[in-house]
Amino acid sequence: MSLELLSANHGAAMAATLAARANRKGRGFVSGVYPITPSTECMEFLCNQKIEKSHVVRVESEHSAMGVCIGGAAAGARTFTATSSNGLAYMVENCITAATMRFPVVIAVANRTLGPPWNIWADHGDALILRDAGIIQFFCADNQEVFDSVLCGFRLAEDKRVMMPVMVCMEGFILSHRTAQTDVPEQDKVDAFLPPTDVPHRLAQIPHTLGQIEVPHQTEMHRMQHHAAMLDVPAIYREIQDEFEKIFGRRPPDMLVPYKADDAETLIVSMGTIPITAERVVDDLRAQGKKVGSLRVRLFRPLPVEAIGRVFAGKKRIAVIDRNIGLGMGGVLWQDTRALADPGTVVQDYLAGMGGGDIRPEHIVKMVEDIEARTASGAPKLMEMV
Amino acid sequence: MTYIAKPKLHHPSLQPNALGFTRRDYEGRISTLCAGCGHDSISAAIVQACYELSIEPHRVAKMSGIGCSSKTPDYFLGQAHGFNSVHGRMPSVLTGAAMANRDLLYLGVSGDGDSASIGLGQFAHALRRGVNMVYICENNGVYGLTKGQFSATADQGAKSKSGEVHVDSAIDLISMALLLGASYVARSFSGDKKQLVPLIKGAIRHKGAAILDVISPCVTFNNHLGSTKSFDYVREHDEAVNAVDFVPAKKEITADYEPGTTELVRQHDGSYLKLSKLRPDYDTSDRIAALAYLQEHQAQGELVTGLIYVAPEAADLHDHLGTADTPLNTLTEKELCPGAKALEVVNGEYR
Ligand SMILES: Cc1ncc(C[n+]2csc(CCOP(=O)(O)OP(=O)(O)O)c2C)c(N)n1
Ligand code: SF4
Ligand SMILES: [Mg+2]
Repeated sequence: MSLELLSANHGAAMAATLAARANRKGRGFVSGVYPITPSTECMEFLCNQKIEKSHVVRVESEHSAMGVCIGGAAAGARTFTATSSNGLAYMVENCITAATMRFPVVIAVANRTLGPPWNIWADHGDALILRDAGIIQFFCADNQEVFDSVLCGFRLAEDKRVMMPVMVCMEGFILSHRTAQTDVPEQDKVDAFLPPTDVPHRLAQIPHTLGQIEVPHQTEMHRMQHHAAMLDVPAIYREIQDEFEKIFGRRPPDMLVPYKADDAETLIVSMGTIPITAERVVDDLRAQGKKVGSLRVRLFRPLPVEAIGRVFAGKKRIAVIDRNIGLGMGGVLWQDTRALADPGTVVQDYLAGMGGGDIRPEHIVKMVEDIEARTASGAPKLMEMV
Repeated sequence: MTYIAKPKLHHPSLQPNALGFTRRDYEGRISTLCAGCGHDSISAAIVQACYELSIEPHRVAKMSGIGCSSKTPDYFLGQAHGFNSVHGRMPSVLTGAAMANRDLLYLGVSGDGDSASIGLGQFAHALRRGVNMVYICENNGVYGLTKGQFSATADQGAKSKSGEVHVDSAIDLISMALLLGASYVARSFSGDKKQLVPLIKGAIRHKGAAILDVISPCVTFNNHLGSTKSFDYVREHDEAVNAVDFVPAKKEITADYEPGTTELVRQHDGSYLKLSKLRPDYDTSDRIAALAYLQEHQAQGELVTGLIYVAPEAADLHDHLGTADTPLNTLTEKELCPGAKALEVVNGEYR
């Protein structure tokens, strides 16, 4: 292992590079890339690597970037791309193709507000447009986690029981451009962790056609197979964590990261880098005698509903922080988790940091004060980020 | 984008045009582009052209995509309408606006990445349809805004600042535009205001799809030795086919404009393009010959500039569709329902 100073963008590209080299004994590596702020540095770093048996194609759009990955995967190669915001929005059609065709593409997303009007700062809304597409989604809290999630992402995506794209999310600038010490393993260890890519339905010796028309019952069957495979992800991810720990000597974070949640009366639930601030607030408020805890949702799709339900059990108040808004409904994390609480629990949505506003400890303290004054859940509340 | 408005001071020496506006009235906010960027010179040329033609700023719709080039509409015609669409999708948005309100002057501003890379499909189809617009592609061969990656117009063999060689073949938007049926096709250079301003004026007065490919060096990422979109390279390889002058409709055509090496092209609104032929073998009315000329010179590494092709009496999309002269968004019930008598006449025609 060597410790290197890397931005999360470069970390994701470094991990993809190691994974690419690990497939030199397999069917190589193919990537299509197109730049967009704040993800550009990821594709640029990847373009500058010397990787044997690989092609990184600088295509003319994100739609084509994912197209190259789809074609590469169909031919059996390991595949990766990176994008952000409207780039991901433009990629959506082919992301759905990669998912429904069950291709194990790993996608690094530097989360950024969708436009127009244009805003380059962090917002989870870009990745969330694909929450129901059959793509595994991790939201990361720090640089190491981005790096590790990309490596685990390949292992998970390419597991025969899974076989679908994995998206690794990092908040734009907050993480993508933050430089931090990153533990980069040696190639032979990555080789041991990532067996050669084997896409069972790739176009190989026996000619066949992928993606033709199907009738309703076939579509139903395919959707349910895909859904069932997603439901298996939490258990398979645990196996991968064990394997990772055996090879690299450290454990990538769990899909859910509770912090002082056991005896908490008020629980703060959030994703991305927000929980890191929430955990500090928990410490501060605990020092004042308040029973507060935090739950970080790292694996958002498939959402580990049972495990979340267990953490939620017995809580009086649950404050969900959403750096996004499902317009006409409310924050997406809140929508998805509020039914998992005990009846009578106050589950309040706090919309914060949309469009990249900073979420500081004082904002979270205000949310805790607000929820403590409530006897019932209310409509999603916008926290003024002043 | 900038939030810095320019102070509304008019120097007393600024001459008003026919509308009483000075050049200052056609400017926009303070540019945030890099100092020396070619795009700023194009903005200045647009300001000059609109000022000289006495265009009413509120009759102009500035449409753009995404890029440093697409940001520029903020820096000119501050009193015009503007729409900043998504990357590569300006042509379709412009088409929709032009269909709903044919009365505005549609000024599409884009970059080579926006038009030739991600937006090539939309670029092609807007030209093919003959949308009545002035389409300016500010062409620097790179994605300036995302820090200098090669675009689809970068020449094969061009070298990036970091020494990397571009391997893909280049898209020439002008040759494409000729093939697609654009009716006013020109190329210029941001550093040649004398050529650029009349070309923009001619395009504004043209009815139909007018495309201007303006080579506009990116001083930050693509202005080094080895770049074919640098100031030095363009200055050395510029092959101007004609020197263009624009003669407004009201101005009398005098003997001064008589042919010799000079050719007058009358546009549908009565204005003239006066072309002093620099290349005697060049004919702006022959689409096929123009294409061949471009290709031949391109093969020799020369960049043909000037008015490449013009179809003076071109038909635009409204003509193709037979749309009403009144803009769609102002048609009233009365015009839509002309009454029983008019219906009688129509029905009579079918008896
Ligand atoms: C769908 C999408 N993909 C990528 C981007 C990022 N992006 C912004 S501008 C640009 C390229 C602009 O190049 P060009 O049109 O040549 O403009 P220039 O900056 O060179 O003037 C890119 C890739 C985006 N905004 N949207
Ligand atoms: S990066 Fe290049 S294109 Fe963009 S403003 Fe600077 S010089 Fe102009
Ligand atoms: Mg450009």
